[in-house]
Amino acid sequence: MPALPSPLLRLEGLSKSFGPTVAVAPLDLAVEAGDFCAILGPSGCGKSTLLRMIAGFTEPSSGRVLIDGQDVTALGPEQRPTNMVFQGYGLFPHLTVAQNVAFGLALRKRPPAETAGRVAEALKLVRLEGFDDRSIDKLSGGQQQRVALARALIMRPKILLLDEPLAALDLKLRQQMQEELRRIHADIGGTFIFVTHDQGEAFALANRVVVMNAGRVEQLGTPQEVYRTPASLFVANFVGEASILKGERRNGMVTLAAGPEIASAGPDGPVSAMIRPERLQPAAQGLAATVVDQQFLGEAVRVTALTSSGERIHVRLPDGPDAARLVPGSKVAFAFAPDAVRILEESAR
Amino acid sequence: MIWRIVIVLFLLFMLGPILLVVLFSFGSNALIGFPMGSLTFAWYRELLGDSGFFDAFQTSIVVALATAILSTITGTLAAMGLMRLTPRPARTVLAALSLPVLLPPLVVAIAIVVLFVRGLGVGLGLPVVILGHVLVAQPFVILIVMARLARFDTASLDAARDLGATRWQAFRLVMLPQIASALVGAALVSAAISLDDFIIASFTIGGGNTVSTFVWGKMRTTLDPSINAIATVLLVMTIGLSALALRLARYRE
Ligand SMILES: Nc1ncnc2c1ncn2[C@@H]1O[C@H](COP(=O)(O)OP(=O)(O)O)[C@@H](O)[C@H]1O
Ligand SMILES: [Mg+2]
Repeated sequence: MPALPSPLLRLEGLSKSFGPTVAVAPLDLAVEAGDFCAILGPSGCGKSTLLRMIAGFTEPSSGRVLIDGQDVTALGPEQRPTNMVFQGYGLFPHLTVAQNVAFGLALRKRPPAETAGRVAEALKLVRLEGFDDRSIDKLSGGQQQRVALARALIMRPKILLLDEPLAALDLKLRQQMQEELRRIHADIGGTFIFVTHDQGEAFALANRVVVMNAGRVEQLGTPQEVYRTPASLFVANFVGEASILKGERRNGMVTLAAGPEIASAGPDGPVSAMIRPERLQPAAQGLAATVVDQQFLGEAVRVTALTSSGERIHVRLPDGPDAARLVPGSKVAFAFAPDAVRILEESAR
Repeated sequence: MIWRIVIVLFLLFMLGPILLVVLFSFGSNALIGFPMGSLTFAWYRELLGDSGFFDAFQTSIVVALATAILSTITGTLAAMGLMRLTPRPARTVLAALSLPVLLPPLVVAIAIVVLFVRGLGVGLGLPVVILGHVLVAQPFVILIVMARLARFDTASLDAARDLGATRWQAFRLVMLPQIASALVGAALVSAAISLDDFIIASFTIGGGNTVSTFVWGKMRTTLDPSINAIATVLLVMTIGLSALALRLARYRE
């Protein structure tokens, strides 16, 4: 058999149940070397459990974990070529910054000169030069985050795992750390997998997004694919904002309850149509609706309207005279390009 | 004003006898009472020469040390186990383990004698004394260690494992250094409890004496001022141990 180019990480039928609770349903997943991959989903959907199975902390109920083609399912975390940045960082408060970062190398009994060199290198990478002898509890949240990152990166893991790495930071710091993470990923050319419940963060960092819901993978794709062509109603709603309109397909033509007709091939039956808010524009004719609310967002205006069928639609448009006319109570029509609509079968929930 | 007088009187009533004991231990008068005579260390010197006291002192130290080490180990293991349980069963088990503290020491002493000596045929002696002291000291160790573990970040253990540590290395290099001062504090409290005990020791020691059974024996025959010296030594040791334990467990982290 010709050798297929194998991905760096492959999960085969991996699942985990805690008693009757199915935290992760059997799933397959491949992550290529060099990917910056986000596992995105609401709280409690099984993201951390999945990450901990990859790291070796949680024993799967079924399935295999392969790294570089090697089955590591039976190996403990200390034997896997992965390192992790924990949600609460899990730093060692009784050690200095440099001792924290050197911990893994010290365990491997590397020569002191090599360890010192690599600690300096790692601290430089996360921009903490000169912090060597600081104690952990004298650091800010952002600095602790960097120590945790340096401590994991110094091991040169094949895969770096990050569990909600930025959740504990305030907004400004979070944006700054997002940039830093992208720079570090580019600098070392590594493979990063991180868990987040924040869609903006997933899009800001990742080139691959895995959307999870209730222990299952709903969609795997680039941020653009996930946003523009969601595979399910769940993805459409969870990733960004969407208007969902009910409709019925007959002979390749979908008729929305709200009025418009859209050509769409597929079996006859009930369907849903999804449109992103920036793809709807006020126009002379189209989707007729009554404005119920208008919010000023700074760079844009967010309008909520009710269609004649009583469905709620969301529109986002630049601030200006067009937006100013959309006051609550006004009756307007919204036009949309054919490619702005995504038809989802009812079976896709 | 009247309250101040009440408080002073109250303190005198509580601390007075103790102060008198300390005072008399340095007085030259053989009769316990005033006048106490001139300042002297004679009673302490007499203690040093008294082989009965010396043996009892040695025994007390051995028992206290063994109690401290054993109860700290078993109490720490119990605390670590309890932290893994969900709150409800943990509370039940903790209550069961704390029973020896809540029961009158007399009942604990009788229970130990009945079970080990009558039931299992183990002879009376120091091992049984130590066992009794461990039973009473262990709940304090559990509470002290659990309080420390409640603030312990278990993610740091995961992190150590992730960086290549075995379970044992993670415990030794990450957990132990962080909880060490609490463990030393717990050991000191255990030693103080052991030194303090009279009832369990007197029931279970068989032959020989601890300091407290020695004093008891002496009090029944003579009213020798060297008892004051012994009491002062015990006082200094238990207060010293407890104060040190408090400092270590609370402030040094
Ligand atoms: N150790 C555990 N024991 C029992 N249930 C657990 C355990 N860890 C996670 N769960 C359950 O598994 C589900 C997924 O949890 P988790 O992976 O932490 O979700 P997320 O990280 O996406 O918020 C939740 O319902 C959670 O209650
Ligand atoms: Mg989580």
